[in-house]
Amino acid sequence: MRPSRAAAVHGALIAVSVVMLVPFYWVLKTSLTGENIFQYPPALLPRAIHPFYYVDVWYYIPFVRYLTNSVIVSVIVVASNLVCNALAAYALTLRFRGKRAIIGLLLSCMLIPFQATIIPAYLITKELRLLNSHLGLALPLCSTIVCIFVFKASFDAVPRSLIDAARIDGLPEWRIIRHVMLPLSTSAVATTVILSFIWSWNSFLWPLIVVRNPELQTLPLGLSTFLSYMENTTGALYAFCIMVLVPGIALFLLEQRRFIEGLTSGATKG
Amino acid sequence: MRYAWAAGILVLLVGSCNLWVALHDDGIVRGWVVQADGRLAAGATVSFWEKTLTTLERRSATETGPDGRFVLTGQAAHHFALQAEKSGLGASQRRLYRRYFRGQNLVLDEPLRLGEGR
Repeated sequence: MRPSRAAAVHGALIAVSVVMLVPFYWVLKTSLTGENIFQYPPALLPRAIHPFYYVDVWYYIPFVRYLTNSVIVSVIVVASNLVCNALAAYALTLRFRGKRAIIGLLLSCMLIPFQATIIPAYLITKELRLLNSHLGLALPLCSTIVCIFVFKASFDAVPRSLIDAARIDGLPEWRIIRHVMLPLSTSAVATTVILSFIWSWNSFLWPLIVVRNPELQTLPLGLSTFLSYMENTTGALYAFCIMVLVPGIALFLLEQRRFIEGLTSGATKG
Repeated sequence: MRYAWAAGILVLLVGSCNLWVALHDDGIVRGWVVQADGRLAAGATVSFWEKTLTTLERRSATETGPDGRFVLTGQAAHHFALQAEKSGLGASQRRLYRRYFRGQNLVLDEPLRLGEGR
């Protein structure tokens, strides 16, 4: 690429990045200053920065309890996604009658929004006596079709000869997954961890329906409760938003290379 | 490896912060009260108001000594107000203060000035 063209491309990318980062910057700035977000003209640079809104959030609401609940639910979701999705994806890499139909069924299920299935999901959770429990909170996200296909794309790239060799050596199927497929699919693992963590972390509608005990509220529920407590909470509200966002962003930054690899694996062949 | 680094740094930061907090969380608030003309106000009553989610609640009170100084102890609130008053000299404004953590020891930068409040 010529230098002038590269500069233009980079300029455009920087401009798009700035546009995408401005809302996040605004949230961060408001959380540190508490200024009125409707002020006109808006102040681009923060003035009189202080961390007291974060202190307010920490003490005024049971933030640690919300955080603990969110962490417990996310750990359940991530662990179960890794196990269930890897098993399902491995099955889909094998040859069997009706495989195309199952893949078609899974793909078509992705078209149905979660809101449409929320009542059956609630009834099933109730029958399993999992309402008002961490497991009940995690249940609908314990396996996700997107992550099954992420694993499948990664498993498809593993040479068949390797699997055949493992079989000849007498490895059972679950050990092939554990010791052959997963170590060769670290990008898919990272993608599953990040996606399932973020979906679980940000989940609002399901916890709102399934949890009645305040002791089990997660961070998004806490955020909505916090909104209902006070009116003049701009700074504290945005501080809460930042505190909710930080774990997801940290996880993404730690695993971004593998996450992008995982999402793009299978996008190209040859 | 970077998970170990991230966890290690977090543990170090949180541990240092908690240690610092543990050494400075006696809940002591020190300050002084002056009259409208700037003279020290002995025997003024200083009230401590805790800021809750919706309102201010009076928690305790103390009196200034002959040098106009006061000390409040065992006050955990991180967001609070102080107001001084003395009969004949009026009251100070109810001024809000913030602390970085509950019970942080605090020395006021400026005196509470009688006659400014209602």
